[in-house]
Amino acid sequence: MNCRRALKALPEILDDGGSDALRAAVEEHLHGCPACRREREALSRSWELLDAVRAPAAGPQFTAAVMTRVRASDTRGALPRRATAGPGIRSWWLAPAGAMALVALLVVSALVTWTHRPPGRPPTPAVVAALPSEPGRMPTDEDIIRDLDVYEQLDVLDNLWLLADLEVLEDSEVEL
Amino acid sequence: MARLVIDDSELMLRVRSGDHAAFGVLVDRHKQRVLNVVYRYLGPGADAEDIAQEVFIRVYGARRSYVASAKFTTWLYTICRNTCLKEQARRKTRRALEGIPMGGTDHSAEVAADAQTLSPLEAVLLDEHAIVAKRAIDSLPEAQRMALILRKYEGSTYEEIAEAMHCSVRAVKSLLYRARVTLRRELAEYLELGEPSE
Ligand SMILES: [Zn+2]
Repeated sequence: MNCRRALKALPEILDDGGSDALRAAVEEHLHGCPACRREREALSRSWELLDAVRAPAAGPQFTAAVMTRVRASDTRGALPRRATAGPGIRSWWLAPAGAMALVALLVVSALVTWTHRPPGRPPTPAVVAALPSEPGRMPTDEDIIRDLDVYEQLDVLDNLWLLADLEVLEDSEVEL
Repeated sequence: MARLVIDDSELMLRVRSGDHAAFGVLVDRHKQRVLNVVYRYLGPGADAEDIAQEVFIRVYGARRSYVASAKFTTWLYTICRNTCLKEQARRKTRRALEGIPMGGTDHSAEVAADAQTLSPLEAVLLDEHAIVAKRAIDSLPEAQRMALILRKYEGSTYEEIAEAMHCSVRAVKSLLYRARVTLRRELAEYLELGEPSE
């Protein structure tokens, strides 16, 4: 193995050890090559320096704040849900007009679902999505999936040359 | 008496059927994990915790799309990345509107802007090593950065990263390969490593 191939293989070996054959060939080369040994050291030390980046601890009110927002979104009726005896029910009594509107929404939802769904199946997301919702509602599954599609397409462009790089790496492994 | 620990998938299925308490357990269990990823991905700033909370709001909003065959943390990372991408886009727009210059790979303006919003706690956490390392992470393209964070800090397998990032295991290996090489180059001067041999 020459220096070029050894240097190409080092990141992979440091990441997951690489195959036995690749590791043995690189180790043999490193034994007699101070320059590549320095390079391995450089890759290792730069990776270890990342340990210094520590995140702060989550605040004591983190979970409570999330749960408050979740309950608020349920009460707003962003997505119709089956009626359960949860905390949301109690808050309906505090807002009778909102409760009436939500009950009406649920009745319509139930009717639409009842008349359209095949027997034994839950309401489809399409039926749920067709119902009116407030501005500032929770993101739906469709929102998230659509967003991911957009970003993935950007990533494909970004990664084309990376894939080509990996092929070079794998070729060098085959030629050992 | 041994305590019964309910696994993430079971809890998420309960959330799907309207169990709020189950969601609270999930948030408690994974809040630090999500905050770690958000903080390392987006960098210091007073709003990392808000964005981490936003991740969970989105998890809740997408609860009906969860299927038990998916590992919960992998699904969580997908939503976490999506939320980070949105926040990054929002920050870029805001800075453009405020007239803060921001060049292609030069992140000094972003780092400087972030540094102005450091809380005292963050200032303590960010020693010199951390600032240099964070700047190097920030210099990576988005996909490399997320793959690195999941691998280095979260200990995710190639397969888990591939699933979370919707790409192949081959692509993940390539992303991590490039990330290591770039970090080595970015940190060469600081660590007095000399120029890469190639
Ligand atoms: Zn050599």
